Amino acid sequence: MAKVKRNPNLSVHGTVGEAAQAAVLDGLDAGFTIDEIVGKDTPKIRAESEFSQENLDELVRLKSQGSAIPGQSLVNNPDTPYPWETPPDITNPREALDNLVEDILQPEVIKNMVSALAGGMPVGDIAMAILYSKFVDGIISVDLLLLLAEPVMYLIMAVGEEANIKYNIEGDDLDEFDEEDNLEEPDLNPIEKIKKETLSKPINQNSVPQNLLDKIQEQGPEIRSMLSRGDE
Amino acid sequence: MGLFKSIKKAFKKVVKGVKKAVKSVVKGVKKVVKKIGSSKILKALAIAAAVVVTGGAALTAFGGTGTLASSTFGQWMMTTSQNVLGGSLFGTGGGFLAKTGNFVTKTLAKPFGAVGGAIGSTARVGANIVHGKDLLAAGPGVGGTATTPGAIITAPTPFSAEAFSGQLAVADTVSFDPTANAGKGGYINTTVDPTDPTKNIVTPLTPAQEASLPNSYTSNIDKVTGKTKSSSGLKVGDAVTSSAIGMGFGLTERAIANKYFSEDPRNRADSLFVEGKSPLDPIRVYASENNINFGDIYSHGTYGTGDPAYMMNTALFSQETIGSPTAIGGMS
Repeated sequence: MAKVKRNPNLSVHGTVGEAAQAAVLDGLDAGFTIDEIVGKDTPKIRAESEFSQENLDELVRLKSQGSAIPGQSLVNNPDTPYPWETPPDITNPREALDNLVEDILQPEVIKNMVSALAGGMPVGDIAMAILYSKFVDGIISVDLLLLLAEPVMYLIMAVGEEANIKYNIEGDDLDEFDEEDNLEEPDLNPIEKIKKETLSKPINQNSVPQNLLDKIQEQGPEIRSMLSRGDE
Repeated sequence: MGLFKSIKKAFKKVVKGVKKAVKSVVKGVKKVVKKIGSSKILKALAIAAAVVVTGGAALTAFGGTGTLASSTFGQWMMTTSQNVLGGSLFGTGGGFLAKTGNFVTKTLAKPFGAVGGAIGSTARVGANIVHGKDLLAAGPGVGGTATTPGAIITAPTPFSAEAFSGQLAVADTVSFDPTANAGKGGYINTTVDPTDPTKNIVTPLTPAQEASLPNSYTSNIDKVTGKTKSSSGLKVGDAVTSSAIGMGFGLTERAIANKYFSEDPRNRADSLFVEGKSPLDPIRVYASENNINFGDIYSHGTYGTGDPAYMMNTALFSQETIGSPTAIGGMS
C-alpha cells in the first residue's frame, strides 16, 4: 500500500492529456507506484473484429442510397432549417461536456460502447459518432465538436481500460504502443546512438563513384577507416 | 467540399493530434518512470483523465472490481476536490484570504463538481463479458453474491441506483435494532427461517460486516428509534462536499443556493451577492495571462485538479504587502 506523503498539488491545464499527465506525475511524486495507480495487471481482452457478411451488406446498402446533390441545401425552405442550421442548444464547453458525460455513462450506451471497443472499433471513430450526432441534432456547434474531441476520447479510453479491453485508438493500432516498447533501445550513450543509426542506414550505391566501389570490392576488409589510428 | 465532409476531415486531424498527444504524454511519463510498459502508463493516464473529465464522481459511483473502484490514487486526487468544494482550500483561519477564498471556491469553483457517473460499472460489464455472464449482472459483494439468498451487502448491479449514488447495495433484511447488543444497539440481519416460513431468524452482524456497511446507509439510521431518517437529500446548511459524491448536475449550485437562501434571517430569497472587485483580481490575472475573457472564464475548457481560483492561494497573492493609507479628511 502506498505511503502517500502529501495531498495532490493543484493544477489547471488546457487539455485533458496534460491534466492527466500532471496528475499521474504528481501521484508518483507523492508516493504512489505505477502499479498502485493502475491496479491489478490482468490479461486484456484483445479487440478483434470479425468479418460479418451481414454488416458488409448493410454498409453497401447505406452507401448505395446516394448522397445529396451539390447545392441541394440551397433549395431547402429557410423556414424549416435542419437542427444544425439553427443556433446550438449548448455553447458552453463545460456544459456540453457535462451533457456528453451524462449521455455516455448510460447502461445501454456503455454496453454498446464496450461491445464496439471489443469488436475493434477505434476510440476516435466512436468519439466522432457521438459528437457528430450531437452536432446533427443541433445540440452543439461544430467548434464545440472539435473542442470536445479530446475529453470524449479519453473518456472512451477510460471505459475501455475499465472493461479491460486492449482497444484501437485510431485505425488498426492495437499493438502500436507495445511495438514502440520493443523498439526502444537500452540506454546508449549519444556516440553509440549515432553510430548505430548511421550503420543501420542503407547506402545508396549510385551515390558512390564506380572506381571507389571497385576498390572496396578489391581490398575488402583491408580498408581502414580514416579515423582509425595507424600503426606507425 | 460539403460541410460534413470537411467536419469529418477536421475531426480526423484532431483524432490524429490527440493520438500524437497521447503518445507524447506517455513518453513524458516514461521519462520519469523508467522501464514501464506504455500500456500501463496509458491505463494510468486514462484513469486520471476519467477522474478529471467525469468530475471524479465516477470513483464513488460503484462497487465491484474495477480499477477506479479500488483506486486509492483516484481517491487521493479527489481530496483536492473535497477541499475545494468544502471551501477549506484556503485554510480555516479567519484571515481575509481564507474568507474571500472560501467564498469564491464555494460559489465559483467547479473542478470535480457534482457529476453523475457510473463509469466503473463497466469494469463489471467487462468482467461479465469474459465470464460469459449477462452484461449487467452484479458482481460479488461482502456477504456473498447478489443472487445468494441472505446476502447482506453486495456490490451494486452495474448502473443501478446504488451504483449511480456510490453506495453498496444493502439487503432489505438488514436493519438497526436499538435493543440489541445488551441495549447498546446493533445491526441485525432478519431472514425467513427456511424450515418454518412463519418464523424469522435474526442474526447480529459481525464487526467486519458492520464495518462494511456503506456510510450512506449507516449515517441515515436514527440510532434511538432504529428507523431510517427521512431521506430529504442534502440538509440545509450541510457542507457542500456531500454533493460531490451525489449525482445529477448543478447539485452543488443548488446546495449552495439552499444554504444561503434558507438561512436568510429575513426569510427572503436573495440572489448570491456579487463579490467585490479585489478578491477576484488574482483570477483576472490568471485570465489575462491565459488570454481568457474574464467574464467568460468558466466557458473555457480547463482541466485539472485545481481551478482558476486556486491562483488566489499562490505565493504571489498570499504574501504580505504594505497597505497604502486611505484618504484622510478632505484629501483625495
